[in-house]
Amino acid sequence: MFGIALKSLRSKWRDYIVLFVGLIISAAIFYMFSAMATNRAFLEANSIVSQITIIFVIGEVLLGLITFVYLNFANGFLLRLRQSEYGLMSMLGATKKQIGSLLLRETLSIGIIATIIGILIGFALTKLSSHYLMNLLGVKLAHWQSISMKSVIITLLFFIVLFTLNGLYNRHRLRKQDTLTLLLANKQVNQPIVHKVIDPLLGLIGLGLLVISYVLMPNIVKIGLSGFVVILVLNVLGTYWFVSRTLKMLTNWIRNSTYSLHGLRTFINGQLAFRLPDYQRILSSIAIMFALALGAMSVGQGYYRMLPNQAEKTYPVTAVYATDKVNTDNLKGVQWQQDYQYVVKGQTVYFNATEFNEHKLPTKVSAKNGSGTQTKWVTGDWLQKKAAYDYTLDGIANQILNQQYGAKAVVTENASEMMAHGTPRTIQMVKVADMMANDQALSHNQKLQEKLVGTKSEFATGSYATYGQLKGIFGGIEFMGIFLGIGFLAMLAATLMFKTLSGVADDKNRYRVLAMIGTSEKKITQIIAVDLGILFVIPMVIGILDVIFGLQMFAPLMAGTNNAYLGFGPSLIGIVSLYIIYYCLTVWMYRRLIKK
Amino acid sequence: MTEPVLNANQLNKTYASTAGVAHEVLHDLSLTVDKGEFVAIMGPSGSGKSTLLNILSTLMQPSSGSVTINNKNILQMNDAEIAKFRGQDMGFIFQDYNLIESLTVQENISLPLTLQKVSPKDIKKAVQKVAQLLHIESYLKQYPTELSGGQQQRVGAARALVHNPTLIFGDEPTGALDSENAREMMNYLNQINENEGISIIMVTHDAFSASFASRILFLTDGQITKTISRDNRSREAFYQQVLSELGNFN
Ligand SMILES: Nc1ncnc2c1ncn2[C@@H]1O[C@H](COP(=O)(O)OP(=O)(O)OP(=O)(O)O)[C@@H](O)[C@H]1O
Ligand SMILES: [Mg+2]
Repeated sequence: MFGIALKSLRSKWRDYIVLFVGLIISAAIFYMFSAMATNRAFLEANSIVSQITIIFVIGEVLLGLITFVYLNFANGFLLRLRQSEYGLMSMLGATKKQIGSLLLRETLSIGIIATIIGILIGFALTKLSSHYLMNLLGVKLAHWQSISMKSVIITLLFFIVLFTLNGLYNRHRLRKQDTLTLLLANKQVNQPIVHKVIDPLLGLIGLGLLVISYVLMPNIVKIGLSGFVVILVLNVLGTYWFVSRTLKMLTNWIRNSTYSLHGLRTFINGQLAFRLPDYQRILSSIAIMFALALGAMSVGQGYYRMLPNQAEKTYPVTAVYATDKVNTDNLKGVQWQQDYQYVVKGQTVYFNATEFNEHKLPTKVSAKNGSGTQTKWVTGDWLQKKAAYDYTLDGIANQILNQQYGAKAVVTENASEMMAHGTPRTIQMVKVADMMANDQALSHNQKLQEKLVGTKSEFATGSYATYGQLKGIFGGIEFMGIFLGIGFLAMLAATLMFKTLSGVADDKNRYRVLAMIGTSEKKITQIIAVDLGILFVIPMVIGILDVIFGLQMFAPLMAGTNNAYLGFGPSLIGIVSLYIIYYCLTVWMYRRLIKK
Repeated sequence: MTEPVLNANQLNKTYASTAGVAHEVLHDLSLTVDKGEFVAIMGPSGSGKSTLLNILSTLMQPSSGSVTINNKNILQMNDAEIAKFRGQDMGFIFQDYNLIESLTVQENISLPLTLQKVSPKDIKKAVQKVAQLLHIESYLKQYPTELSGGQQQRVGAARALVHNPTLIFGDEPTGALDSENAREMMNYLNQINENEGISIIMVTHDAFSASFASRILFLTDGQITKTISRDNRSREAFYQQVLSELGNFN
C-alpha cells in the first residue's frame, strides 16, 4: 500500500510541490503577521494610534479566516490528488478504515512539515524584509524581533488544529464515497442547475449586503470596532452570493443564446460554468485577499505620502541651519533662501527688525477660511507689534539653543540694538520646491549641522526636520501597511497558482480535443488567456471596489478622508502591475503545462 | 476514379525512450489511400498502429518521410494551416471519446462548426442532421458524463462528421463498445463512407470491425506486412478471411 502511495507521489510531484509551496507560504505569512500582532511592545512603541493593537488583533483574526479557507482548498486539492489511488487501494481490498487513517496521517504529516518549514522561512523573511523595508523607508523601529516564541506556538497550534479538522472532514467525505466514485474521481462533473427564483433572489440579496457593507464603512467610528466584524461578514457573504449567482445566470444565459455559437465562446463559457461550483468560493477569497493587499498597501503608502505634506504644512521653510558653514549648494530647486543675524544671551535669542523689513520672513498662520494653514510673509515691524513673537522664531530660538523649549525670541529695532547683547552669528533659511527630491542632500546637511554646531535633529526646525520627527512616530504604521500588503499579495499569488495549476490535468485533455478539431496553437493560447483572465479580473474589480469604500474606515486614523486616499493611486498602480505580471506568468506556465 | 486522398512515403518514427535508448516504431512505411476508400489497420499491440495513425492525422510528426493529404504536404504546414486543415478536412473518432465534459452534447457537436464561423442557423441545421443520423437527438441537452459509453461514442462520431470532412481517422472507435454498439457504430461509418464518399482510416484490433473496411493493412514491427482487400465479396466472407489471417499471425 505504501508502494502505491510512493508511486503516486512520484507521478504527481508537480502537484505536490504546488500544494507544499502554498502551505509553506501561508504558514510563513501567518507567522510573520502574528509576530507583529502579538508584539505589543513593538506596536506601542511605533504608533501613537492607541487602537493599533486592536486593529492588529482583528487583522490576525481576518488572516486566520483566510488561512482557514485556504487550507480548506489545499486539503480538497490533496484529497483530489489521492482519490483515485484510494479507489485503487479499496479495489485491492483495503478497508475504508485503513484508507481513512492513511489519509488523516498523510494530511497531518504534510501539514506539520509544511508549517515547520513555513515558520523557519517566516524567521528569515521577517528578518530580511524588515531590514530591507526599514532601510528603504528610512525608519528605525523599536522592539522589532524576528523570532518570537509566542508566535511560533500560536502558528503551530493554529495550523495543527486546522489540519486535523480538515483531515477529519476529508476522511468523512472519503468514507461516504464508494469505490467506483473514488476511481473515477477526476471525471466527475457537477453541472450547476439554475433555479429560476432562488438564484436571482440570492444574487440580489448578495448585492444588497455588499452595498450595505459599503455604506457602513465610512461610519465605522460610530458603530465601533465590533462593527468591523459585521461589515466583514456582510461584505464576504455579499460578494460570494452576488458573484456566484450572477456568473451562474450569465453562463446559463450565454449557453442558451446564439451568442455562444461563434468561435470558441461556447468553450470558454462552458469552462466557466463547469468550474463555477469550484470557482465561486475561490473568487470571493481572492477578492478579499486582493482588497487586503491593496488596502494595507494604500494605508501604508498613505502615511508615507502624508508625512511630507503634514510637515510642509507646519513649516514655511524646508530647513533652518544655525550656522553659515553648511553649504546649501547641494539643494535642487531652491525657491527662497535668506541669511539672518542673531545674538544669543542666556535663554533669549535676539533678531533685528531692519533685516526682516528688508527680507520678509515666511511664517505659517491660520488660513483665512479657517481650515489649515497658509504662508504669510511678515516684516520686522509686524513681528515687533506681536506681543508673543511668531512661533517660527521661537522654534528657531530653541533650535539655536539646542533644546525642546524654553527659549524666547526677541526682535530688536535694528542691528546695533541687537549687537548690544553680544556678537552676531548667522542662520540660514532655505525653502526647496520638492523636499523629497532633496531627501539625501537635506539629510547630509542636517548631519553636517549637528557636527558643526551640535544641533540635534529632534530640536531642528523646518519642514524637513519635522518630517523626520513625524516619521519616528508614524513610521511603524507605514512599515506595517507595506509589510502586510506584500504578505497578502504573496498569499493571493499562492492561492491563484494553486487553483489554476491544479486544474491543468483536467484541462489538458480538453485543449487536446480542441487542437484535434482545428484550433491553432495561437488560438489556444488566447483561450487560456481569456479563461484565466476571468479568474483574475473578477476578484480584482471587487477588491478595488472594496478598497475604495474600505479606506473610509481609515479616515479617522489619518487625519481626514483626503489623507486616507493619498496612498491609493500609487498602491493601485503597483499592485495591479504586479498582478498583471503575475497573470502573464500564470498564462505562460499554464500554456507550457498544457503543451506537454 | 482512383485519385489518392492520402499518400505517405518512407515514414520513419523513432521514440527516444526514457532509458535513453532510441526505439524505432515505424520503419520505411509507405501507403496510399484512395478517395472514398475505407481502410483498416490491424496488428499486434505495440506494433505502431496508433503511432502511424497519429502521424497520418497531423497529430504527430514523423522522424522522416512525407505525408500528403489532398495533395498538400501536411508536414510543411504551419500551425494555423494545420488547424484550418483539421477543422475543415478531418474528423477524429477515438476510443476514449474525447468529448469535452464541460459542454453539452449539442455544444460538443457544434464546436467544429463554431470554429469555422458558420452561421448559427446553419450550425443548428447541421447538428440536427448528424444527431438524427446517429440517433442521439434526445441527448442533445445532456452532458457527456450522463451518457453510456456507446452513446458517447456516437456523440464523438457526430462531432467528427458534422463539418463534412473528406477524411475520418479512427483509433479503436469501437474499442470501448459491446458487440451490439460496435456493430451499430460500424454501420454508421459504413453508411457515411458509401453515401457521402468520405474516406476513412481506422485502427482496430477487432476482426469484426475491420471487416467493414474495403482494405485491411496488417502492421508488424513498424512495417506493413500484408494487405487484403474485400473487393466484391460480402462482409461475412471478408470477416472469415480476416479471422484466418489473424490466425496465421498468432
Ligand atoms: N510517446 C511515446 N514515447 C515512447 N515510446 C512510445 C510512445 N508512444 C508509443 N511508444 C512505443 O511505440 C510502440 C508503438 O506504440 P503504439 O501506440 O503505436 O502501438 P499500437 O500498435 O497502437 O498498440 P496498441 O494496439 O496496444 O494500441 C510501443 O512499443 C510503445 O511502447
Ligand atoms: Mg494503439
